[in-house]
Amino acid sequence: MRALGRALRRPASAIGFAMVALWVVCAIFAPWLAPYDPLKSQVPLQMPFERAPDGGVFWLGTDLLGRDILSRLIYGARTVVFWAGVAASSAYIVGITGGLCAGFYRGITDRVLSFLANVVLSFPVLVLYILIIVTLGASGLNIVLAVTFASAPAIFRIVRALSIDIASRDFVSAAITQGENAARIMLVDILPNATGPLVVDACLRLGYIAITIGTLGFLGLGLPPPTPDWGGMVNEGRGMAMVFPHLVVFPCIAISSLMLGLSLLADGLREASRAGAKA
Amino acid sequence: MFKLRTNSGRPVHPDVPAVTDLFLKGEIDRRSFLRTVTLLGVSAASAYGIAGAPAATAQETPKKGGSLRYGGAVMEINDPMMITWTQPSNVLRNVLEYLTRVDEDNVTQPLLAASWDPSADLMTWKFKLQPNVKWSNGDAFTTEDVAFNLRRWIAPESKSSNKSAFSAVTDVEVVNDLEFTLHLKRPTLAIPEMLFAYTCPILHRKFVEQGGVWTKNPIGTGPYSLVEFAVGQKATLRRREGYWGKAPLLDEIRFIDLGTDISASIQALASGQVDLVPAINTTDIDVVKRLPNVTLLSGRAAQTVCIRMQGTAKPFDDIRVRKAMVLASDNQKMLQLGYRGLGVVAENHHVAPFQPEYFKLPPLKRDVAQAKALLAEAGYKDGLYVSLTLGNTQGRWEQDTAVIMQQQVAEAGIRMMLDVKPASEFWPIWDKVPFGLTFWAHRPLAVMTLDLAYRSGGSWNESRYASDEFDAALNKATGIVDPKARSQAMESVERILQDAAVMVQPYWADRFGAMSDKVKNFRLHPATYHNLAPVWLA
Repeated sequence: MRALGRALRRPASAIGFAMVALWVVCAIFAPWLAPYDPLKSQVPLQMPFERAPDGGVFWLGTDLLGRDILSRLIYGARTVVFWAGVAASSAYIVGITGGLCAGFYRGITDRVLSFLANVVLSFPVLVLYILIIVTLGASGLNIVLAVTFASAPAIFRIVRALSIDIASRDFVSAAITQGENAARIMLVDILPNATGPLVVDACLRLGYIAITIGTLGFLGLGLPPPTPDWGGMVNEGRGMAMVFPHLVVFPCIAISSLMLGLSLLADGLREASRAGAKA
Repeated sequence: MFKLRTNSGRPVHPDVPAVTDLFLKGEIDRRSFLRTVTLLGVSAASAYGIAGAPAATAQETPKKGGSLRYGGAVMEINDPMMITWTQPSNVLRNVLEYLTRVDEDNVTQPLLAASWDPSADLMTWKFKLQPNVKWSNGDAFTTEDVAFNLRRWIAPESKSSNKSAFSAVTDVEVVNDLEFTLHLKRPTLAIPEMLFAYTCPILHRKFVEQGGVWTKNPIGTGPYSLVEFAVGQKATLRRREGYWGKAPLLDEIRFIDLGTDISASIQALASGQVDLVPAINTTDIDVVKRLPNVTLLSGRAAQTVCIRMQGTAKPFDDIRVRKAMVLASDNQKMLQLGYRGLGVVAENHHVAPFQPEYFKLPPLKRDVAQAKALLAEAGYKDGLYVSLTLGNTQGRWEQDTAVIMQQQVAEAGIRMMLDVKPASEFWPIWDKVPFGLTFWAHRPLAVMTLDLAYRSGGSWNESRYASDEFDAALNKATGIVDPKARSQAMESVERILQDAAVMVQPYWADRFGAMSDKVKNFRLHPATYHNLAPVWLA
């Protein structure tokens, strides 16, 4: 938290935080913020600021099926924030567990886990996502599985490297000498000392996962329709983008702003961690 | 008064005077008259003599030569009678030929068959072939070739959709090299029209002996030869010297596969990489209208999507569930929102208002309260969960339509999940899933589709619907010549199917295409059976 406080003193990081916070707020309070039901068809292809039949305004226009784009973006934030959060958590649980074991035990455990991680990392990530989703079918749970499978090895590598370094320090040797069990050493002595780089990585990774969810939606492999999904919205509108640019511009802005926000926040946290370390 | 003549020179069918009389009294329209008398063997020219020729349009002088670049899928073609998409037929249609040709106005014209004469009871059809037709390998085209094809289609082991379509045919009798007779077990007026179905090109009699893969040995009687074929990439056709009919104008036709993304095809058209994109989606219309030197093509077609339920699978084995699904759906809204209103509302019986045999039933009424009551009666008081499988085989509008239906049936407590599969994954299971959305291509006659899709045991009976009453009503309708009486006979066909709640059929989708202004004389065929012979490039 101290690092976050330090990071927010930097204007760029504060802007990043605000961008992320905006979408998190949208996700949490979507039913109160969205002017319309995101699934309800009203008047197709209305331009931004056009009047709705009930006297309201379609602030960002409507899509081909007459659904309010603003409402779909707000509910879409829920899709991205929730599934990106769940997927990232799942990937971290797997990656951290593997990385701690490999870094602490070394030997055959390390060799086997590193080999498996390298095998997965040798595949192009997007191909891996597509393969998994096409095989298992498009659903939120399968997106979590795909992201976990593809992202956990990279997290594993970071945690493994950090664990090897931390495990060689005196306080860990002392804990071993005292007879503490391995799980306690890994979770209480090693993991807390590795959180700094992991928090920075998590910010960036959340952004990548948000992009991944958008990409899968764009490729038609996202959440099943009619779930509001930013990538899916871009895909739906791209054929008509020349005539109705609002169909793709707003979802693209949403994806970019979340990604940019997370990147700025990650940069700020990295700088704040370095500053903290020097202090 | 102008006298009707048959293509064969024989006397006209005994029903022709009565049909002409109905037309002259204004009891049937021009389209029904033309269609019926040409099916009965009357020459189109003499029929137009009575009905009036189509309005002439200013014509430029056609220019010979040039290469047309056609933007469309190049799909695998092994055995042409087994193809299940119309796209491959557009490649082979220029190399192989059909016995007849149903033109863009739904009038059946002679092609390889020079004439046909049905018996008074429509149970025996005598065909005469064009003389002097040669295969591209030099062999003479004879009735032996025709018999080879027809017998393959209806053979017990045949897996072709032609087997259902021609289930009335009991025997193919070869009279001599140029004449053959079809014997039927029930009267069928549409035989000449059915011979132009996309699965009915006439193959060389040695097709099976020579390997049974047409693209490896593309012998044909048509005006072009296949010189290059790469699935998913391209197919090149070159004009054949010594063609028996009128020589086509283009030197070459190049089919260029631009993938399933129509936007890519439109970009290719805009940048001059292709000259013609014969199928675009409604979402592309606004873009095409803004492109310079590009013409938007459109036409009414009996193409549709059927959201059908298998009556043999749970929960659709209970007619109350099927009826609830139908009652909760609003076809008009699905047309407006799912297809931008560019079509005609359908009535859940797969007969289009613009098909000749259509009978108008009372309009469908949406009744969500009754749908809920039926569901409760069927044991789904707390709602029903169903999963609809679809593959967007023709475009995203299929999914858009399903999304609208999803909203509608939700009001009746039906939670409809959409299982959207890539088209390639959908086709192997399209007729197997209990609840699916299927695109059905245009056919000039509704009975052609009804035979395939709803007759008991029909080749493409995806809803597993089986009813003796329906089969009998369909048999009766197919054997009536008088268009008015035929339409009346269709009342029970349509009603039985509608009452059985086999499907939600929201609308008939208009067809759209786009072409460069330099392409001349191309007409969008309602079934996408494009005739490129009269096309030329400016």
